[in-house]
Amino acid sequence: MNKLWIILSDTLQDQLKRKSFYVLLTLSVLIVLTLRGCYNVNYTVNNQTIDPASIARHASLFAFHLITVSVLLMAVLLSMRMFQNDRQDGTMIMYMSRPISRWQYGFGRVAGVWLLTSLFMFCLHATIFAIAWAKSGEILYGYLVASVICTINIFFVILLTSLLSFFMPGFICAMTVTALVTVGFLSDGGLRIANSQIVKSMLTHPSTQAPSIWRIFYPKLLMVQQYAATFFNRDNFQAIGPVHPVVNVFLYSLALLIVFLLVVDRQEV
Amino acid sequence: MTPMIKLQGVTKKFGGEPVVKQVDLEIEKGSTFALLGPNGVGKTTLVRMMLSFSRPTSGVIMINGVPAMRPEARKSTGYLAEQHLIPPHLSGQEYLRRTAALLGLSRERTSEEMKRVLSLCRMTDKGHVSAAKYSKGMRQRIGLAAAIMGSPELLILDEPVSGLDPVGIKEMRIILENMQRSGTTIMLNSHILSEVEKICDTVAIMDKGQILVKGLLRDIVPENESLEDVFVRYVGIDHE
Repeated sequence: MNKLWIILSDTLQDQLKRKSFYVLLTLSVLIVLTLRGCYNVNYTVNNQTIDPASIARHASLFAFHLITVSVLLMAVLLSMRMFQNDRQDGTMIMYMSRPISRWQYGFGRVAGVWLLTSLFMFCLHATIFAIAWAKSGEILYGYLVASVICTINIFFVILLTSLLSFFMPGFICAMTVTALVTVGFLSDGGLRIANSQIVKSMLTHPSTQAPSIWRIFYPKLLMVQQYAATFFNRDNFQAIGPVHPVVNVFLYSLALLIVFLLVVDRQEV
Repeated sequence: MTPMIKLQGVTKKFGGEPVVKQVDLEIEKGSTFALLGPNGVGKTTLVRMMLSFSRPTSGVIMINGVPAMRPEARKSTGYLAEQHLIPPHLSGQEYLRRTAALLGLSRERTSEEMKRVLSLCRMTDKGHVSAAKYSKGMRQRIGLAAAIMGSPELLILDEPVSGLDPVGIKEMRIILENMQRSGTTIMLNSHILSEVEKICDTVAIMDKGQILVKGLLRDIVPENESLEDVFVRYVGIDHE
């Protein structure tokens, strides 16, 4: 356990030395500062002023999803070349020539990036939480819990990227993972829109067909985000299919973790 | 007594082609052993398998009685690669500190060891410099410093003097002789036969993935011949 912690801590330090981390940090801070403007405006619809609490809730919901998706992309970028770099710059040999198990090395590296990106996302969400509170007086109970729930999505994405990075170049690996995640987002987003009351009321013959099997069992990253958002958004959550999205992503992550550790174990250093 | 390194029927194939063929080898504790052979005969592959960087296709490798794939086998092993890589974002000191942490040394011991090994490898004043700015020789020195950290029982060196100037080579020899006196088992791959003759007591000559001869240096090299003569006799002069 101690060795695992050493590798995890080394990974945090390594990532904090990378320029790309600070570029992404700056971009994220700029996005959050831009979002701050949403809370300063008085919105009027049909000559009725919308109450600040409602504005805060909607703006925070938008910010929640935007930050979560941005951090997912950041996780892909940070992990896409991690193991290739380790092999090329001697980091892998540094660990493997010492009394370290391969699972400790592989899991320590992945957990390090996971911890860093999760903390990063939590800080950004906490900033939005604080802005909403300061500007509108609305305390979004559950906002930070929702942030913690979404860390499972980050874990899934880092594992998938790390696993694929053993078989393909970093850039192609990042594009593949982004494409896989995007397909899931479009599929779940499309289903959710199709099942919404507004769309159903607009259609004369709303579809009653059940979604296809692959859409039910595809990794449900967007659904996890939507489920997490119900913790502060007072919306009802309806899962697609028999498996809860958190369980879905957890099971995928577990399976990926097992395959990833097997691949690390079989790697030539 | 359990040998420090024991290989039994070790074979390694790459794409079906055997690079190492049925190697049996024992290296006694406290000996200074050199594995000699022309380029591409499987010496580095053998070393990589001893360190579990690569799995043998068949056969067994034991380090101090422990299977080489288990982490405990590397508990007291130092390793220096032919072209030792140090992560460029780390300084020499940071690299050594990480090595000490992986070895489980306490904070006080880490500090003492860092001073000792940096001084031995003449890198005390360059320890804080980023590895990205190191020359090849400096990387080898830091690599050696990391390898001897915590006074390992087994030191595996792959072409250790590669990239070192004559002074560096002499200093390396002195360090190895000191470690030898303290009972460390040293295993090295080297092309520089004159250095091997000065440092090692046991040698093995390898060619085409097989050990051709193994024994004490004094038994293998007759009085009127040099190691180079013996080496050429075994592997042939027109090898490449």
